[in-house]
Amino acid sequence: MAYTCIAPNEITEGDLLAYLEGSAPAAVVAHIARCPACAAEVAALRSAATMLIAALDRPACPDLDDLLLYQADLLPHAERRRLHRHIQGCVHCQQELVQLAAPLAATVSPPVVERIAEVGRRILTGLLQPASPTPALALRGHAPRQYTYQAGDYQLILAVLPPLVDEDVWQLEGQLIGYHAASFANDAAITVRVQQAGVVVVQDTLDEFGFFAGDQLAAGTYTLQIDLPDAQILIEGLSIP
Amino acid sequence: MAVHALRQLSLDTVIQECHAESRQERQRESGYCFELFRRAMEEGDQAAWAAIAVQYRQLLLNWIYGYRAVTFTPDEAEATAHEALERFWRTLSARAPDITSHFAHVGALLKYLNQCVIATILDQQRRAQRRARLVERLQADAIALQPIASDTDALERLCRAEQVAQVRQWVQTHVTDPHEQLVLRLSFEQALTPAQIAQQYPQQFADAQAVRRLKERILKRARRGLSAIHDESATDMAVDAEQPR
Ligand SMILES: [Zn+2]
Ligand SMILES: [Zn+2]
Repeated sequence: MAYTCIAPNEITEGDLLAYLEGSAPAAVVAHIARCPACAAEVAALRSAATMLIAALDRPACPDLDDLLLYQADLLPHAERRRLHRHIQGCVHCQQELVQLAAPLAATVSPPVVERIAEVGRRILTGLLQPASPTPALALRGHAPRQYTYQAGDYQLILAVLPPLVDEDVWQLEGQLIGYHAASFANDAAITVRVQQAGVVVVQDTLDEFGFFAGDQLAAGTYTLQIDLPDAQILIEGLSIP
Repeated sequence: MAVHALRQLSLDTVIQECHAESRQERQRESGYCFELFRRAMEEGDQAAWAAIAVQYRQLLLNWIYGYRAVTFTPDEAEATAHEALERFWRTLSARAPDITSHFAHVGALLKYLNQCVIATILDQQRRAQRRARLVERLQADAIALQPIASDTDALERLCRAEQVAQVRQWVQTHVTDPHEQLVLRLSFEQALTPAQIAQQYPQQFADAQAVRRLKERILKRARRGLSAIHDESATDMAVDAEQPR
């Protein structure tokens, strides 16, 4: 059963909205206090306004299903072109596409994580030297391999993770131990580069805990280089897998 | 094994052999897992689909836990895995139901499944950002909007992708007048008040009240046009003021 306004002549179009905004004249406020129909209308308008605010965030962006299909090249030509035009002008969608394009690696196995934490508590000195591979963690037939390097006072732990999807590419994860972001001036990013025959194939920066990662490494031999403010760490002959 | 022979096998055999195949190296793959996906997608075999969910659960969870930017609780990770599988099914049924002609082998399907996980996580991030923006807007807005900002369940529902898509669809078909479109964009996307809008666009709007009239008109239409969503999510936010109509 619908209420009807008790005195329609007291209310004009725009008054209910003014009330919602808190800018209505006293007469309008008084009317709404007495009139159940207008009070209900105000509540409904409030809900509608909230829905519109929620829905009009990044209003032109395609939803994730479409972005996913775009990335996988499963959209018809016309739709693909329409999305392409939007993406060219939208940094949000561009960033999401970059993430969609980089396959997720599975978690580092617990033994490697524990090992990294454990080693992180000790400072070892010695020459740059590979450690023995970790016990196998069978992921689609391949085991991740782990290496420990010593470079000056720094220790570097590298884990080479096997491919999970159809491509024959590997992931590299590492942590530089002995590195503390706070000990270096400002927030100058520390760059990690993986090169092959002088060409940089992977580039990342250390996060605050000294972690870095690289995707899409084909089997082969690489040089890894970390540029610290006071030193350069160089690991040559890094063999993947 | 030849394709036609694979198709003769019982589902149980396919499931068992897929399980065994998953422990092998990629090079020794023999098509059982692909056949499992094919039965689920192309034949709509629910049991095959259930077997996929079991077979790939751990792989999905490993991927999810491998996502660096977010730490998932076990429940969240399970929910994300479930949502990713749904997305896989939903998007492929809509755009590539004949998976054999789009994917060469199970590795390609798993790569797509991996992307479904990423898309699901990105969708969760979009929802969180949308919600943060909405809360910020509601808190900055007039008193009348504030009660909504404290109802987290209702906000969560409002920010879901499906609901957002419905509202946008409505806007596209029902807000076609250029002046209304301008008011909509400036009010709801850019958070300008009617007074600010009137000041910035004196050619279009005589005064703030003129903007309010248009805005109220849009909202009234939205209230009617979106009543299905409104009844589901919005009434419980407005319960303090809602009256039977
Ligand atoms: Zn009234
Ligand atoms: Zn976008």
